[in-house]
Amino acid sequence: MKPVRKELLEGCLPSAPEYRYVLSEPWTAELIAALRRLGQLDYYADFPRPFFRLRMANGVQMKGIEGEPLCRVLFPGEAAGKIEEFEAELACLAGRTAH
Amino acid sequence: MGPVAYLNNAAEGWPRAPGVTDAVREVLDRPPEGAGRSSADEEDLIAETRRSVAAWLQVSDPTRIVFAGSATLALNLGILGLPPERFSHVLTTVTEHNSVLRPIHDAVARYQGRLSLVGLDQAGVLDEESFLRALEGRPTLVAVNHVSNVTGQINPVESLLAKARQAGALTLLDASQSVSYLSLRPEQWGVDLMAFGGQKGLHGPAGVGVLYVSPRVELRPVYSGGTGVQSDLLHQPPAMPLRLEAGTANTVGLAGLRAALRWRQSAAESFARRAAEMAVRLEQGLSGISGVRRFGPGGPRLGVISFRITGWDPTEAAWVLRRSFGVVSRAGLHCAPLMHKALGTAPEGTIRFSVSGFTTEEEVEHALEAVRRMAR
Repeated sequence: MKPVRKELLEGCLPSAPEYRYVLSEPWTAELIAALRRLGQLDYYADFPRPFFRLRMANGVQMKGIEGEPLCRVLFPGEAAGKIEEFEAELACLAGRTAH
Repeated sequence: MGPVAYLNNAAEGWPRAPGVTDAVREVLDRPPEGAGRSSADEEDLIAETRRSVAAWLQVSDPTRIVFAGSATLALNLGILGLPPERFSHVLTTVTEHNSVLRPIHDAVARYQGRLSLVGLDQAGVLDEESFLRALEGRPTLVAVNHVSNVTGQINPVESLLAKARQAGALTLLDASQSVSYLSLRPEQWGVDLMAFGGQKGLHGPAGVGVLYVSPRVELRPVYSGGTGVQSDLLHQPPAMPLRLEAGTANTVGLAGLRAALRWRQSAAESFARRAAEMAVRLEQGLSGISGVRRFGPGGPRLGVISFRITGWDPTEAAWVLRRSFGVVSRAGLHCAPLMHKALGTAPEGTIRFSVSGFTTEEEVEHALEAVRRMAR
């Protein structure tokens, strides 16, 4: 899984930098499960389109929908310097699944 | 995933009113011949739309109806076109939208005036006693919105603005949320300025705003430029409404507005009644969900409901409602930061559901089920 494009999002509220990533492939249940090793994962698998939220130890927060090649990622506080680190983790993700 | 339930009508009414899309397409498909300008012999779309709006509002002189690019721009024309002395003491309320708050704040700062704000009472509605006390301070301009875009609360503007006029103030009414749902009679009510957009309760296209300017008020043009008439003048023509309308008119949007008005007049009271029924259904459903907290008063309200779901940030909840369940809502501060502060919901704001006369029972039930599942 690779980030294909990213856009800085502007929201209604003052917030830490938030990016919308377009990814090379959609999120599968397997890829979402693989996120567990990166932090605290909340996975709402029973929603019509399952939602997941990841809170990484370094403060980075990510959310997405199973089946979509997208995610939104928030980099609050010191996590603002972790963008490259996050993108590298994302790129390694596919290799850590059963594929 | 297309929307399954559209509950963001306080931002933009959807679906568009019957006839709007055809009217817009018709204008786009025919060669522009300068409606409102010198060579057009055909029916003048702009003038006819102006007459339609005036007739609908029971305004006797259609030239007092000004078109702008949105309600926000209409409000800016009205506020920023006032003479500096009108900003020596401005009275407004915490229920206002930024489209009123920001131009007023800017003008008060520019002209070194004073701003008084009326808050909410313990019941969560506009504090009328404070409002009346504030009038004793002889404000020069009083701006009040008809309906809160956060809670749907209806402000008793007819009586409040009458008292403001008696106190010597010039009065401004923001009718963005009430248009199409409540009767608007600016001339009868003695309101000096009133604005709304075409895309909310009227279910017309976005990009059209309406400003009513009473004959008692002479606004300075905020914009100047081409008008197609009196082109020899090097300043904006002084007569209304061109005094406030520079540049090529948005005939596409005006055709949509005209069609929306035609539909609205035929839809009569059943449209507002249906919206009220859907709002009650939605509100009762939300009240029955453990983990949902609603904000705002009881009593007379339009179909705007603010709430939170325990364990969910409002902005994230709205995103999940849309992405996972196909429910379109709006979250955050709704461009009304002072209202959220007064409600105790700043800085995160709330999730907002807003219905229309087009909202169906199925949409309401789908949204309620989505909230139930998120609240588990």
